[in-house]
Amino acid sequence: MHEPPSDGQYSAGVNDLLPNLEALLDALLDDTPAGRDANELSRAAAHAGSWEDVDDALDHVVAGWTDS
Amino acid sequence: MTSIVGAPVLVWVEVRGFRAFGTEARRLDLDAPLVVVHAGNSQGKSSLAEALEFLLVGRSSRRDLLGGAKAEYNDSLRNAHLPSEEQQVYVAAGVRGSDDVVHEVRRELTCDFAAGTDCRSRLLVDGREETSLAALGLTPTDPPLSAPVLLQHTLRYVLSTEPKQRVSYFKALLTLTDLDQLRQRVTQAAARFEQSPVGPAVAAARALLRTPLAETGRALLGVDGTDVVGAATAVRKILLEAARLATGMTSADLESLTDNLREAVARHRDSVFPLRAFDPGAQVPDDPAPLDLTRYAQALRSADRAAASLAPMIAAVLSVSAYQDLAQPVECPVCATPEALTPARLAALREQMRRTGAVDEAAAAALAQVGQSRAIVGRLRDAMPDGVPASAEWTPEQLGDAGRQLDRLSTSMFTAA
Repeated sequence: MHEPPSDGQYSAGVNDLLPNLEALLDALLDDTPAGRDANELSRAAAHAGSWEDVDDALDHVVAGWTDS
Repeated sequence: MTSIVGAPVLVWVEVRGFRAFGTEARRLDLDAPLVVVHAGNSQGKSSLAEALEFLLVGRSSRRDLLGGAKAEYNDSLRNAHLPSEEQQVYVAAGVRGSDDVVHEVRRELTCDFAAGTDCRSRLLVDGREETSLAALGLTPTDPPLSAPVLLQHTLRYVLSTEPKQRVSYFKALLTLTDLDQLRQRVTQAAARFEQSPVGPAVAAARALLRTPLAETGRALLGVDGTDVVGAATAVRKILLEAARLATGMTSADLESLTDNLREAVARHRDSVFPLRAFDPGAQVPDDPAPLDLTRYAQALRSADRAAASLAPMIAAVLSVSAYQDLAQPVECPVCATPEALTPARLAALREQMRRTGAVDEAAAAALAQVGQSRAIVGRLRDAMPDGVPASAEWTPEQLGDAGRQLDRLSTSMFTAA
């Protein structure tokens, strides 16, 4: 899996799998429960290097929600 | 013009026997930021574009898009002027992948469009036969425009197709399909979550559906979990109200509710069987402290010594027959004091001797009693472990384990009920 950059920013082209993710994250700014969840899921996917990694990352986020 | 990081790049392309290309293989160098191919009509520009399409997906969309009589496209990929014995019809290309290595991709036409059949081809990557170019990052979009390389085909398709397919096309053209795929993966993750075993909280709420608190269970399962703070408040309110209905006790908060429920459970247990009566009390001391009779024995020996020193002399005086019926005072035979030995003093001496004897007897009897008592206490101590429950000697950890097991048993009985 790709590690997130140390400054937390995702520059264009860093994620080859999801080239439009940064634009999506820029759009997911509404501070509502659904917006926060979507943002968390998207950020988790940003670290993925393959679609299998995306699945793992999404499952990890959901597991975190169920355990909290 | 900038290239997309990690995207595959066409470095060169070579075509032979395909469409307008003849038996001489033609190679085009494409390794430049911008490539322009220009020529007059019927010079092979469309053939070049269709060659690229054929290379990528192994077919020509012209037949699918333009419709009409399919038969018009029979034998349309192989150059019609090739000698019949000429078999080599291919499109090859150098593709620089994300590994920065130029791979040779080659697709050979093995069977042209024919009546009722599609064309067939063989794909080779670096000499190895493959089924797709996905390993190089070249993935086709949805048909019929799996590889949209010809603008006239694309425009015709985009203008004539259904709106939904048009949107899909433009998403593919603008490389926006990654977000569609992400949304699909999120949907699949949600489906996996829905199929996963329920957590302990939901399981507990469902268990309530089989008890008199079924309404509470339904209310808990109906709480909107998307609002964490609101859900916590709702669950707290439901639990407090359910406890009030079940026990008749009103609790101000979850802490007092817990205490009240524990007390209610304890009362319920006692009403069925007073298990609490079997709770062990204080631990039995390992060895009772021994009686300390040292001071008593020392005082007794001191008194004995004093009495022993005077007793023979007093006994000798009292044994004199002349003093047995003394009526008048006489001289003391010990200290020679005139008239010191009176009848009253003789009576006192007799009483003292009697008391001394009684005290000795009592002391001996008391010591015997103490000895007997110590023996009884010893026997009681030895017998006590057999007379009390084994739990009286349990450690705090053992007592805690037993309590937890009892709680689980009570819970399972309560749930089953």
